[in-house]
Amino acid sequence: MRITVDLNKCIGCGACELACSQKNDGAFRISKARIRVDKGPETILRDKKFAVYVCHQCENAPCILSCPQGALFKDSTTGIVKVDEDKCIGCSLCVQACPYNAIWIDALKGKAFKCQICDQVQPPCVNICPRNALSIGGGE
Amino acid sequence: MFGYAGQILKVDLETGKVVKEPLKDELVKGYIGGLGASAKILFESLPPMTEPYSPENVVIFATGPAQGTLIPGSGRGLFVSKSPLTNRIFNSNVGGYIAAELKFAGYDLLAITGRSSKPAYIAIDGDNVEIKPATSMWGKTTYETQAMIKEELGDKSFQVACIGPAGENLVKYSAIIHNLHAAGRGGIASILGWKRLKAIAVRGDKSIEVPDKDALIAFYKEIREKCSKHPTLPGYGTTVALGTINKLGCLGTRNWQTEVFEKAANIDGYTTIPKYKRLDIACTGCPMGCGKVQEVAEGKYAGALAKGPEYETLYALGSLVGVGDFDALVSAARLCDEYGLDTISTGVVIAWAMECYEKGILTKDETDGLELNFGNGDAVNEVIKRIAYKNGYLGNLLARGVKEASEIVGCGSQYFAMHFKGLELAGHSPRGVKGWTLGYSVGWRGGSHHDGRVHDIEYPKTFEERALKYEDKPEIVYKTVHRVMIEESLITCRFFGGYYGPLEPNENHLRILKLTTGFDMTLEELWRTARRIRTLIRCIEVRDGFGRKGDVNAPPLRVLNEPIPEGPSKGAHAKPSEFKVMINRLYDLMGWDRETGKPKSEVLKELGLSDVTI
Repeated sequence: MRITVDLNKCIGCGACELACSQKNDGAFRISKARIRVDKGPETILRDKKFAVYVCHQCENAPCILSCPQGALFKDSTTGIVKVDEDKCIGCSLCVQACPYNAIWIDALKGKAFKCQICDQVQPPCVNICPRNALSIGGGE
Repeated sequence: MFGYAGQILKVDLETGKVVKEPLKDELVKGYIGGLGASAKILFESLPPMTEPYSPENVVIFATGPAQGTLIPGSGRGLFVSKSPLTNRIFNSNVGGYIAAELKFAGYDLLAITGRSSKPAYIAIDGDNVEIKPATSMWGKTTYETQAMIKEELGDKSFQVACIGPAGENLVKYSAIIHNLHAAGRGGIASILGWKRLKAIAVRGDKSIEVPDKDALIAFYKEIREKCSKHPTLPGYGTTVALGTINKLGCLGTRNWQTEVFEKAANIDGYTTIPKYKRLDIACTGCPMGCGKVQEVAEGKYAGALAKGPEYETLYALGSLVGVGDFDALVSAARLCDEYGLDTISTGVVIAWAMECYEKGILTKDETDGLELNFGNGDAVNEVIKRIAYKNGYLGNLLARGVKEASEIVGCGSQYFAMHFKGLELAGHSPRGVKGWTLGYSVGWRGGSHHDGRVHDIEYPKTFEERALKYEDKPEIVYKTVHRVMIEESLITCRFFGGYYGPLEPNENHLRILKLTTGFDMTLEELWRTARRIRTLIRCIEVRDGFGRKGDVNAPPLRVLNEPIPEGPSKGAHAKPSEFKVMINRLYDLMGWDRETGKPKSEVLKELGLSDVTI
């Protein structure tokens, strides 16, 4: 299960970032969003598309393999890659390992954070998108 | 404080001093934010008759309570300063992402004073604010500059607003560019150029809190539903307004010699969007997504790409200069964005020069060899480069704006210098839409299509109601001006006017204020706030020497004396006798003195401005 993005539909408004941070951080705070939009203009000029970064919940997740503390793990029932904040030391090896730029370090807490599918039925990012560019589904 | 970041950031480029001040309660309660708060700050800090190019002149970048939230249409911010074109205070509105980012960095407003001794840029990384050297970026285009700054700061999530060569060279209508968006009007970029400030880069990791997030998200969804049914903006943006306005016979063509463009279909969105559109883009949190990125695929302008071109650009660099070649138009728009020029003023200035050339007022020697006939899209592209770099006689002349250029050239060319109060005329006809004669003339900015904002109301009307009837226009302008005051202070996009407006301050604005700040304001208080802001701006105008005379003398002579010669709006124009009646009536509604144009003392008292002396 993961959030999938149709870049042909994305208009770069970042409503997903705002809704995500509101749900997971309790306020509008895009630096804490678990889904990120690269709003360019460099990306737009080059690709004629926005770029959106969100966890692919990989089968053999490079972030899990990279973590020296065993702080990242795959939920055995849902397949969602999760962070154990008690174990995470904020070393950011996972940030370097992720091929999708979809895991970040909270500078204040010194812990990694990422999309953990906060709602399996109606995730706020999917729910808010004005162009139905996001969906939740199975597979990588 | 709900809805606000809570701080004002002040940067003086001369001393390098950076000061953070708390956002005062009285400022937000009395003026909301955005334009209102900026007007209050400028009234207090600008000495009377401040020269636009002086260390005293302040450039504010302002947000309001809507920015950084999911209020639809909140992806906008304002640059506010004294304009070198009009010598009046001026707000230039820009979309994109930087307004929200400034609030996430912890500031509602940024105020810049002084003049740097060397090219510089301001890097705002939350609490950490630095003035950094911009020597390596000086001379670079706006797109190059944005990329260089992100590279230097090591993070592409910085939002950058910058000037291009035109701003550095003090072209009076240069534009500040952020992402693919422009704070185009009024030449505030040239004030940054004079201050040697190349750019502002912003990144923040703070929160914006609102009193009831569920209610705000429900409001977002309610408006999103309406946006999805909008007939034109999500699919075509403003590109199809061109054909519509041409059908009304109100499309400025060949320097407003006529208002019907025979090649309108070539450049209208219904023709171009299917072939040229690459991408839809939206500002922060916007469900409308009116931005259309169009690209030329083949031919000599292959690779030219621009956001839009929006309606105003299609008018200014299309019909107004007689260009029906869409490829040349996209290229011209792209050059304006990269050099940092306002497309509207650029088109109006070039159209004036073309009429001068065709009438023999400017010779081929004075155009430095260019065949400057209407319809010559290649020449338009060439002139844009010369303006940005002030190359040759023509480049230097046109870089001054149409008012000053026509005063220099003379020979009757002032008659067709299409500006109000020094600001080149936007693409909404002051002849075909009678309310606009008044709206532009009494606007604080002049030729801006946002001051009076009557066309949302007037275009759907019959020819008689729109272009001939004048008795009802003062009431309409009175209402729309005050709606703009509120929407420029909350800061919501005018394209949500259909949902939040379209006429006057109303319950929707109160709802947005409540959802973001939690303030309980009555409709009467909202109206008083709108009037307080407009009146205070008027006080600054008066203090700077502009009263009734500036309003009465605002319309271009062509608008007053020459009816539209052909087409569906044939015969319409702003008769001087009607114009005088409209101005007097509007002054009465505003509470301004008919003789001097000054706000009356009882009005100042009623609005809580009794300590204001003018």
